[in-house]
Parts: sequence; C-alpha cells; structure tokens
Amino acid sequence: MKVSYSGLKEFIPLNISETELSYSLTMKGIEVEDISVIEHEVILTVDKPPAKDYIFELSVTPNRMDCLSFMGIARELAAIYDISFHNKKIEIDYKEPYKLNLTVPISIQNSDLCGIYVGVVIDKVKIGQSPEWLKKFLENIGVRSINNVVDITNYIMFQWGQPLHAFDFDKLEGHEIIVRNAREGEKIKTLDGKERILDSSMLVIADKYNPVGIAGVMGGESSEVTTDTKTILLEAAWFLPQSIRKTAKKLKLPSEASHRFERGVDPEGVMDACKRAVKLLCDICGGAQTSQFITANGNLPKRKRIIFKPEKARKIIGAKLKDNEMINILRRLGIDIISHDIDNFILSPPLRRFDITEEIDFIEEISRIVGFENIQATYPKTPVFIQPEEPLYKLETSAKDILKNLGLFQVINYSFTNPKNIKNFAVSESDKRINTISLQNPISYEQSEMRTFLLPQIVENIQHNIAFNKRDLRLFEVGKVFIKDDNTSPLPLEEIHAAVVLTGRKYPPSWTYPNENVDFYDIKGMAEYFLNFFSETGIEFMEGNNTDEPFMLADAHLDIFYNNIKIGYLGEISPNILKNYDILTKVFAFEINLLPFSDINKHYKRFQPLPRFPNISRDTAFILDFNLSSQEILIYILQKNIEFLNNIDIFDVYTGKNIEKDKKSLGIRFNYMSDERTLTDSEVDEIHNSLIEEVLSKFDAKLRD
Amino acid sequence: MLEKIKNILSQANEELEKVSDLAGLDNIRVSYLGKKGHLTLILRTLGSLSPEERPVVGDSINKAKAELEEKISLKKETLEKTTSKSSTKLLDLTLPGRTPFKGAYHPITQILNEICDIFTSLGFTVSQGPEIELDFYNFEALNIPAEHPARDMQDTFYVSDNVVLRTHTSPIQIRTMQKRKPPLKIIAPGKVYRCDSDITHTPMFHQIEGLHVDKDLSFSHLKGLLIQFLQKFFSADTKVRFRPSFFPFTEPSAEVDIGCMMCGGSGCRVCKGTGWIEVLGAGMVHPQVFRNVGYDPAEFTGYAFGLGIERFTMLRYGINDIRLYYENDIRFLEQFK
Ligand SMILES: [Zn+2]
Repeated sequence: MKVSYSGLKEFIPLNISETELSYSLTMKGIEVEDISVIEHEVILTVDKPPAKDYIFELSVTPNRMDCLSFMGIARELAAIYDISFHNKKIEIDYKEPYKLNLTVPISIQNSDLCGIYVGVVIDKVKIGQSPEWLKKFLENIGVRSINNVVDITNYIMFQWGQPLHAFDFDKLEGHEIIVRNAREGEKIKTLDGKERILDSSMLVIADKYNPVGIAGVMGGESSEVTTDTKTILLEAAWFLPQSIRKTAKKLKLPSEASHRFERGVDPEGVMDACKRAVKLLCDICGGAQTSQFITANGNLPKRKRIIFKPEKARKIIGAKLKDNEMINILRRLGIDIISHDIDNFILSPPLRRFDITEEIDFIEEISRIVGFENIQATYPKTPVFIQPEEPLYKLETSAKDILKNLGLFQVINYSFTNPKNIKNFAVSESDKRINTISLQNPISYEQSEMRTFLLPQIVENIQHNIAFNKRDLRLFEVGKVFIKDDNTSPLPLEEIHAAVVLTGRKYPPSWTYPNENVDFYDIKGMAEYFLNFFSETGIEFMEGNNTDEPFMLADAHLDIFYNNIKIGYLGEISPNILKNYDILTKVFAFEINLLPFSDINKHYKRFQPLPRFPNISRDTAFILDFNLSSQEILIYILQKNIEFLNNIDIFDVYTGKNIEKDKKSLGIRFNYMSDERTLTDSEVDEIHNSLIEEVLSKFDAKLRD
Repeated sequence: MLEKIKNILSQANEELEKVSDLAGLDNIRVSYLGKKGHLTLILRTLGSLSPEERPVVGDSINKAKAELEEKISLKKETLEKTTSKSSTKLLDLTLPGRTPFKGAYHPITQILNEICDIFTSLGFTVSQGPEIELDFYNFEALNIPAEHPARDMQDTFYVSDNVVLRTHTSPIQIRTMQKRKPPLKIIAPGKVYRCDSDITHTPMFHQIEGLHVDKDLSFSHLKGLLIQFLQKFFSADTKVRFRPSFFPFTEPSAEVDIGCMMCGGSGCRVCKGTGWIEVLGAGMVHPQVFRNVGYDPAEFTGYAFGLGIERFTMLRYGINDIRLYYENDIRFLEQFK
C-alpha cells in the first residue's frame, strides 16, 4: 500500500523528515519497503501545496486492517509520537440539507453477513473528469483515474479505509436495495465484463429482482455509473470479513474493496466516510443530496471488555515497565480504560482493532510502541534437563555422514517429481511405488507427484551432469519418499531412503591409479560397508527377481533384506532404462529404506578377551565349476563346524590362463586356533587335509597346482 | 704417558677432519676404539704403572675415548646427510600422493548442520515430523483458522482438502507439545513447501524452527538467545535489530535483521539499500497455541523462532542464484568439499 507524506499531513501535524518517518514506521511494525520522491508540484485541497512530496510503499501485516489507509497510518503515527489526531474534515464541513424527501427501501435479509448498510441518493450528478488534485492524489498512489464519481469513492477508500460503491440509481429496478444471499446458480455480469455464477453462500446487493453487485467484492455492470448517469445511490456498508473472503476466493476475484472488507473495515467509521463522500460528490460533481442517510442495521460487532494485568506484560516482555507508562501507550492507541483496581485494568479497544481480542494483544501493542530496541537482551535461567532424542534425525544424519566420507557428493532433489519417471523406470502395476500421491495444485506437470523412490531423480542428476561432460559421478541422496498407506490414516507413510549412484572412474584421476571404471563389486562393497553401520547382523543379499526391480539389469542386481524383510536393492541399472535419460555408460546404484533401522535399540559392544594362542592359517585354491557360487562353498565349510577352524575368507578369484573355460579358481584362507593351547603344524595339517578332501569330493573340484 | 694420550687424540682429530665417507669413518673408529685400537691398547698398559699414576691415566684415557666417540657419531650424522643427497633419487617427492575420493555435503546440509550444532550447544534437541501434514497441525493448531487472511501469507500445496505439504516446520512444535510436558527446548529442521517458484523462491526449501517453553521466559530472553546465535554464525560484531511483525502463532512477533555484511550498512543491492538483511522470524508463543495443545498459558510462557536455510547459505557463501541448489550440478557441489 502507498501513502504520501502530504496526505498524512492532512490528518496530523508532521515535522519529521521522510527518513525518520520511514524508520519509525518500520521499527513499530509497519515496514516501509520503498520511498520515492515526487518532484513536480502537487496541488492539494490544503492551502499550501508542497513543492516536493514523498510516497511511502508500505507492507501492512494482515492483522492491521486499520492501517490500510492514510487515516490509519496517520493515527498510528499520532500514537507513536504522542501527538493529537484530528480529522477536521468531517463534522465541520458536512451539513445535512434541510428537506430530504426521497426514501429508498433498504433491507438486510442476512443480518449476520451485513452489519450495517447505508444508502444515500445524490441527484444532478455531472459525470466528468476529476479535478487535478484528485487525479494527482490517485496517480501518486498508483491508481488510475476513471471519472469523478469513481475517483471520489476510491479516494475515500484509500484515504479513510472505507470502500464505497456508487450505483446508477435509475438502473435499479424498483428503486430498492435488498442485501441477501445469492440464489444457487444466479448470474451477474460484474464490472469487469465477466459473467459470474453465484452460489447461496455468497452475499449480493440486489434490486427488486436481480443482483446488482457482489457484496464487498465487485459491482454489477447493469447498474454501472456511466457518462449518462444523473442520479446515484452511494453505498457504505460493513460486511462479515470471513464471508467476503470466501466469496472473493471462490470467484477468484480479489479487489481493493474485498481486500479491505475481508480484513474488516472500521464498523465505527462507515457513516463518517459516507458523509465525507457525499460532501465531495456535491462539491466536485455538482450533485445534490436528495435522501437522508438511509440505514439498515444487521449484527455489527460490539466493543469488548478485556482484562489487562500490568504484571503479566512485564513478565512476557521481560522489562520493568511502569503501569502508567503502559496505560498511556494503550490510551494513545485509542483503547478506553473502563475501570481498574491495583492489579487489573478493564480495557475496551476500538472496533477497528479486530486484532485486539485478548490480553496478549495489549502486551504486543505496548512492546511495539515502547520499541523492541528498548527491550534489553538477557539470557534465560534455564533449568538443566535431558530431553529424548529423535531417532529418525540420527538415522538420517549418520547415513549422510557415512556416504559423504565414502567420497560421494550429496544431492538434494525436490520431493515432487515428473510422473514420466515412473513410466521410464517400468515400475509394474502391482508395485506400491506406482501409487504416487498427486498434488492438487502443482507448479507444473514435471513437479506434480510425490516421489516414491529416489533413484529416478538421481539418474536425472546424472543426465544433467553428462550434458556438461561430467562423466565421473559419485552421488548420494538421503531423503523422504511418500508411500500411500493402506490403512485409514489420512497421511502417507514417509520412508527415509538412502540412494547412491556410481558411474565413470573407479579411482580419482591420478598418475598412480589404474584407469578403470566402477563395477558391480564397488556398489556392493559400498552397500555392505554402509549397512554395517546400522546393523552387524540380519543383513542378507539375495539374487534379485527381475520382476521386482524391472529397472535393474537382470543378472547384476541383488535384493537387500534385513531380518527377512526387503529393504532395498543394489546393482547395475538396466541400459534400457538409462536410454530414456540419454545415458550410455554403466551406472551402478543402491537404494535402501532406513526406517527399519530406527528402532534398533542402542546396544553397547561387549569386550571380548583376546585369543591367548596364535592363529595358524592354511591357504588352498580350488578349481571349481564356474557357476558355483562362492557363498555355497563357504556355507558348506562353516556348517561342518570343524574343531579349531576359527574363520575362513576368500583371498583370490581367478579365471583365464591355465584354467579351463567353464571353471574358476577360488582361493580360500582357513584360520585355525585353539583357546587352550598352541596348535602344532601336524595336527592342523591333519584336520585341514581331511576337510579339503571333503570339499573336493562334494563339489567335484580339483586343487590348483 | 699423558702426553702419548694427547698425541693419539690429536692424530685422531686430524684423520676425522679428512675422512669423507662412512667406510673411512668406520676405519678410524676401529683403529682407535676397536679391540686393537690405539686407545684400547694403551688402556692395557695401565698395569705397568704405579698405583698413584694408575687412576690419573685411566681417567684421562676414558675421557679421551668419550670425546672421540662423540666426535665420530657427529661426523657420522653429517656424512649420512651428504651421502643420501648425492645418491640417485628413488622418489619424485613432488608427485601428488595417492588420495582417496573426497565427497561433500550439499551446502544446504552444511549450513543446516552448523546451525543445529549451535542450538544443540545451547541445550536444544532436534525434533522431527511428517512433511505431508494435516491442515490441523499446519494451520488450525497454530492459530491460523480456515478463513483467516494469514493463510494468504503462505501459498499452500494441497494433497486433499485437509492434507497439505507442510508450509513450515511449525507443525513439529505442535506434535511435540502434544506428546511432552514443559520444560521443552527443541529445534525442528526440515524441508518445507510453498506453491511459489521464481527467481527468489523455490517450491521446496529448508527451515529450522526453535521452541522453548518454560516458566518465566520473556521476549528479552528471546532477544538474548538470537543475538548470541547470529553473532556466532556470522561474526561477533554483527549488528542485530528486532522489528515488530505479525505471525498468527506468536505474539509479540518480530522480524530480525542483521546489518548488511556486503556494504557494512551503507546500502547495496543485497540489502536493497536499507543496510539491513532480514534473516529470522520470532516471537512469544501465542496463548491460543498453548491452549490448543493443553498447556496453561497462565503457567507457561515460551518463545519460538524460524529461519530459512537457503538464505543463510546464500549469505555465507555468496551464492546469487537459488535455482543452483536443486540442479545438483557437480561443478556446484564440488565447490563445497
Ligand atoms: Zn548492503
């Protein structure tokens, strides 16, 4: 909203600079966003026009409707500077003519939605251009001049905060005004030339038969003031804010008038504004008032009485303010003191202050006018207490921490994604990931569905980077995905996922590292390392069923289980999927739902005594059938529970030269140890050799020379 | 006898001066201190001396041995140094070492962690809540009823009529207060969503909100806390000012500005000429919010504050385009290693 320095001066004596005024308003809660200087001469109704004027662009918070006018800002300044506020223009200037014979029937059918409706008829109006001063006034605050009648109603709205509407009286059928709810489906063509279909929740101003305006929102075209208009009916009213807001929203028709009505105009100022407008219409447009101020009354808000305890104010603000200091501030703001005893004051705020409904609102006013800069900064004397931890936050931060330290870059993608991704990733009809949650009002189609897994967007990140010729990428994301819940909860299940993609080089570019690309075992190892932080037991990898993760390469992916529940997948992304994103290189990925780890109780490790006797190891390389999995052999050996065999691990896998085509060599290290004594070589040999024999015959294997 | 010792010592010194390699040095050691060395041999002749002479000469020989030993070991050190320099280089020491990959958090995460750390050091703990939220928690319980104009302050993404993407992390405050009784001192970091996308807005961004409820907390305490936080995050001499503002869930409410670090307060593009940059919203918890969660506003008071991580990240790194945050361009991410 804009106000001019000269306009404010019509209400209060101002002798401060524009910078000081701007600073004061800002520091009292009405932020001045911009000041512009008007250099040319502005001719005003006041005697001495200033050579220079300033326009302040204000940002008024939605609770301060009373400040949406020159008068409101002037009143605020009067309270800030403790100067008298006087609106000299009204009672002095306006004199009601003697004989006003015309009466117009005005009735309110819904007295909850319309608190007061004042109508007044002015005859012999000459529609034409506004005087120069009025045009300038409007121009300065960014409002286009239309004609003298419309300009006067706008002038009153901006200067006094009361929206008005002028009807062409002769176009009102039956010369009657009825404030009523619209009939379901009733139509009206509004001033902007558009036809609007109304419903029964909306309040309209109607003549005998039809709506001639949508109350508080916009007038109708049928009764519009035109150059032929001779007689006007001027409307000043108070409508229930919630009702206006609903209507303006439903019709998508915000206006300067509805903006004010939906925040609440001053119920005590309706009549004054109306009188002021009539005076101007008579002075400027040559009109003559021919009716009285015909008033229909509905339920107008009434003044409240609210208890105020100065002690509470001191407690909340944290400053030693004196009672009379605080009461004086409230009085400056137009708040009446009804009565008081030692600890309590009974106060009554003016009706224009819709924001003052309870004690805390007085406290805010006091702190604001005292000035936040005058409240000393101190520190609370907080008792020491231990609060519960947030397990999900810990889960998320440790996941990020591990992955970052593995040399990966964290990406953050929007939680909403392109519906095309689900199709591109060939997610099947029975997969829960296909059941996305859609936004009712997305920014765009590309950002219209909540993601159900992380992989598609992180693949899009690869696509973006490859376009800039960045091909060695190691990215991770940790974030929420949103799964429609089968149960009755209105909210979806929010899982926390961690996803990693690797593509390009295995090692950093360097003179010393081999020039190799990442492969399956890089992603698997990374997943193993990562998962080990969350649980040392219960993790299993199983060969993936391709119908589960259709976007992963059939023979190169594993499903990840935790305590027999699937929590993710790892492996190589199918080139067919990557083609959709113009990616021609291999991409390895894993994605894991971390939620199952959130209830892992903090378990502390127990110390194990160190072995007292040395370990003896034997390395043996077997030549086996190529398709035999290493896991099968290891499990076979371990399940034999050989005495003294402490553990086994694979130290070598080899195919190629000297090995038959469909065979492979698997080197296994066997570690033997006893808790009671040092084993001798010969007894280890005896145990080991018989074990080897069993393995050879079980798997039809040979020893490698 | 003593004369002889002296001569042996000076001769040894002469030889030490001349020697230029480790092998030569070892020869000197053997010829003077070895089993058949000059000083060792002379020690064996002690028996032929009178009992009065014996301790004097013995002492003198031992001193000479010690002196020589030290000189030899010093010489050895110098020779070793020069020798290694002159030999063929085995390593090019200037080649870069074998470093592993270095990763990085997204800059938003870095700043979020930093801010969380400051508040945890001040006794706050982290709370979390859903990102898809009920209208009740996002609005109603926070004193923003359905037809309130304050709803216009936030453009909301709707999933259904009463389910929204949270527009702030404040619903976490409500959920936490419903679960726990005061005292309570929490921060709620996370993603929030507003239906707004232009050069200064992304439809998703990150917030941290704080809430402290106890007996006798005041606006003065809120000022103390936030000034301390801002001076820790920016710098000890950062200027801070509080301006009255409006949020439905706090009263009194404040917007908090810091003195512009780009221009030092004289006005520039970053601060739109005002010398101040808005960084925080804050206030005393509205009694209606307390009533909504079953706290007695007569017994408890509290303060709350909220800030946007993207803004703090921009100010810290001088990032001038917020769209970079969610493009995930590696050339951007690599800058924050
Ligand atoms: Zn600046």
